[in-house]
Amino acid sequence: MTAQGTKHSLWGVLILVLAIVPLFTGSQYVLSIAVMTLLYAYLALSWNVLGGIAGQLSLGHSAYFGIGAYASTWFFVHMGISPWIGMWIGAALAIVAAVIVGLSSLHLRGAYFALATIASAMVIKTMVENADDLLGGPRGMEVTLLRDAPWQFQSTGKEFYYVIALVFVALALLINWRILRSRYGYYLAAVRNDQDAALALGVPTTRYKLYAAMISAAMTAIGGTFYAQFVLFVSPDKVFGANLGVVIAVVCIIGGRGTLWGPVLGALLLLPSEELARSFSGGLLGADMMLYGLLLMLVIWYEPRGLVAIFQRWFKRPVKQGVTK
Amino acid sequence: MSIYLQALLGGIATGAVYGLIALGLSLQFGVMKIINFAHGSFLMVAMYVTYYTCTNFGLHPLAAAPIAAVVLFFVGWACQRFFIDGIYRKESAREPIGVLIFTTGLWIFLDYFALALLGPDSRMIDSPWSNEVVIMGDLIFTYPQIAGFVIAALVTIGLVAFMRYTALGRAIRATGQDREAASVLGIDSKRVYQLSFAIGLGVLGIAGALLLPMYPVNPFVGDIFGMRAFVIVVLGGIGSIAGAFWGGIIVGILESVGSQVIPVTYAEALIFLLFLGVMYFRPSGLFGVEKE
Amino acid sequence: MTSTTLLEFDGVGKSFGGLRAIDNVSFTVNDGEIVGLIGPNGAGKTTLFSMASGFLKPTDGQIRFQGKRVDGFDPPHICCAGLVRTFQIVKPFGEMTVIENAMVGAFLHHARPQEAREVAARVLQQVGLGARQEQVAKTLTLSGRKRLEVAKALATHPKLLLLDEVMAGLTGVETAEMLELIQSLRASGVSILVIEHNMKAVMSLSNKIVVIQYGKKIAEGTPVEVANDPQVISAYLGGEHAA
Repeated sequence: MTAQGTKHSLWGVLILVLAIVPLFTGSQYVLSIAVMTLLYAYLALSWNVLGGIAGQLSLGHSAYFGIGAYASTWFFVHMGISPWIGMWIGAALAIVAAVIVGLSSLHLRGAYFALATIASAMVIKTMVENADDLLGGPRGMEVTLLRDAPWQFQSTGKEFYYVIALVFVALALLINWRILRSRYGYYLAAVRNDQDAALALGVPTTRYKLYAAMISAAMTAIGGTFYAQFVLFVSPDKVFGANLGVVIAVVCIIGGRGTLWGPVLGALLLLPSEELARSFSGGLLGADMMLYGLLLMLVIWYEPRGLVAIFQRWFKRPVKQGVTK
Repeated sequence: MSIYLQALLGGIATGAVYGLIALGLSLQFGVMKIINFAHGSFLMVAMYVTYYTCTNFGLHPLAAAPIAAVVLFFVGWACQRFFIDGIYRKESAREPIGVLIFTTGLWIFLDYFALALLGPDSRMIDSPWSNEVVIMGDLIFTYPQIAGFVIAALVTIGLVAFMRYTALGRAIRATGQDREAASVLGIDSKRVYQLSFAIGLGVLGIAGALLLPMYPVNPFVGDIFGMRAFVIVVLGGIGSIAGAFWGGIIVGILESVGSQVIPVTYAEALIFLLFLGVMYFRPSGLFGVEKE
Repeated sequence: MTSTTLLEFDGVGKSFGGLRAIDNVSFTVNDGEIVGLIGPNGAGKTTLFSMASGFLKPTDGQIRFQGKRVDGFDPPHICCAGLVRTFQIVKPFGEMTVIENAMVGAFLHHARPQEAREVAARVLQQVGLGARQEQVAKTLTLSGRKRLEVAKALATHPKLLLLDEVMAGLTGVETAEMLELIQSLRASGVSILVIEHNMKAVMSLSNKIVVIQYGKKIAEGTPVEVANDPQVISAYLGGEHAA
């Protein structure tokens, strides 16, 4: 085995071991934090497809998260369809939403696009908030409590959710990895670097950006279903909140957008820190978000390419942004 | 009928203040091509500064306006000088995403810092002046509304004049149009940026003082008005000061008259839809000086 | 032996609002030719490129490539057909490595990454960037970027290359190298339309020269003919200031 191969295998084993640790702590509290960390890693990886690889800064991904959460919940509560299936309905609806939002705003540059995504997400949130009869209005909906029903995506023990979250993250990593190595990934990177130059070389920029939006939206919606099943409750504030859309983007950016491991690193840093901040601040209101804001400013100031680049610099490796991580 | 007229005129008054809020943003974007997502948070700061100045020193809100303006002016200058400039120069001038992301962090930080420091409660100033009204036939105008409109209009006119007739104003406009050409003429772009940012926030300080008598302040008040400011900026055209004023009036009218016709919750969405509509159909805005 | 017409501008005009940027321009580029497009700054040369490559739509007239109309189509479509442009102000994919840049071009006709990489490597060798494959594009010198600009376009296997001032800003030595490169491209079967301000270079390179002033064609012919054309001479010397 080559030196590179050995190094990768060692890293792989380490990650695997670390991944299983929370299962053996016997603490539902630790598992809870671990689950949320993995969920945000997954959401950041989903966002990464559009916001990182394709470079389109979306701050309104809460829309897709909410659609996923509400769709699976509604179909479960009102039609008894298992969230495992409802999840895909949510993903499909999110894709439709992404196409509508995308067609009306993907031609916008940088900040305008970001603003348009926020505006679109708020419009969707308002629509949901006003759908009192159908969706429970501002009070939201409760997921029917079944206690232990794995086929209905529910369990009292958090180990169940942890394992599923691990699988989700692994799949999201796989999707990102495949895209990064493919022609599509190179094309997205080209669009991110210079859209006109990409056009001139034959890249169908609008279409490909739209595909990225669709993939990203579908993945995010599935994350929404997971969340709904984990907390057993959905409401406009919790799943469509503007904060959420920004936080997902922040986690990915701090970790290193456009990279493979950046989103994961971002979540690993931010989620436990948020929990620590909450405990140590003695319940100081908003301490966790303050931390996010502060860390975001620090990272952008010090190394805009995120944690991944910081680690690469510390270990003295030549930093290669490009497509190959 | 008079309900609508009342709403219309009330909307114009609040709209003028909205325009003032958006003005700083338009200036920053027009000159530096940066998007400042923390703009709303700075408004919140301005309103809190006004609030505490009034309650602690017993000042009239209008008297507090210059104080807020000066405080925000220096905050803006410091921000630009020590943070934004550094990031701005490190990256491609074409798309200052770094500044956008940085100001996003600033926005989050300021909002929640205010929350932690001052608590979530809304505060309204308790000045008898804010409840005084002028009655003209069927129409009622509060003093804050009248003061808001007049002062906002004056500041806007003053700023337009400044930009057009003073050497400093022309230097700012020149830098906004072509930084290299301006530097050949001996204009220091760094100073111009600091000044523009500072002026933008100074105007925001005044706007905050004008707004406080009309709206209570809480840590998140900036989010709503910040979004409105962006809508106004794109509506009126990036970089157009007069455009920001008129755009503000339009949004003010829309909001005011709109809430008579449709439920309030939908009214918010209306503003967002307006934004999306403008971006889709007429990105250069009504008075746009910049082409997309 | 008659040459086949590759690119044809037929009565092309372009108006921007009230401004008539291009007016009734017609000329052809034949297979195997290098045609030079010259004229004072602001004459409209890059506008012609933008229209030919799909970035702008002509207001009047037609542009035909290999006999088929291309005006009004979008850039990817035209690029696929074999007509590719470079940009006057080079547009490298800054954060990507040199070879990744070239791969983006190569992917047009080679879907598999491995294949695209091989094609890209060959193209980089051709332009003389073989040794800098793994270098991050934004760290290249101007000369390197200009060559990368050519490489990216070349990797798409073009039949006709639109080179927009590829020699601007280069030193004497670098210009000579670029000249050699362009000639070797023609030798390998690529036809070329060049916009250039470097008179010596353009005259030595081209089979034919087209001169544009104020959006109109004022001369066309061999380098010698054009150099002696009184209209051309006055356009360049008679009170014209290239900005």
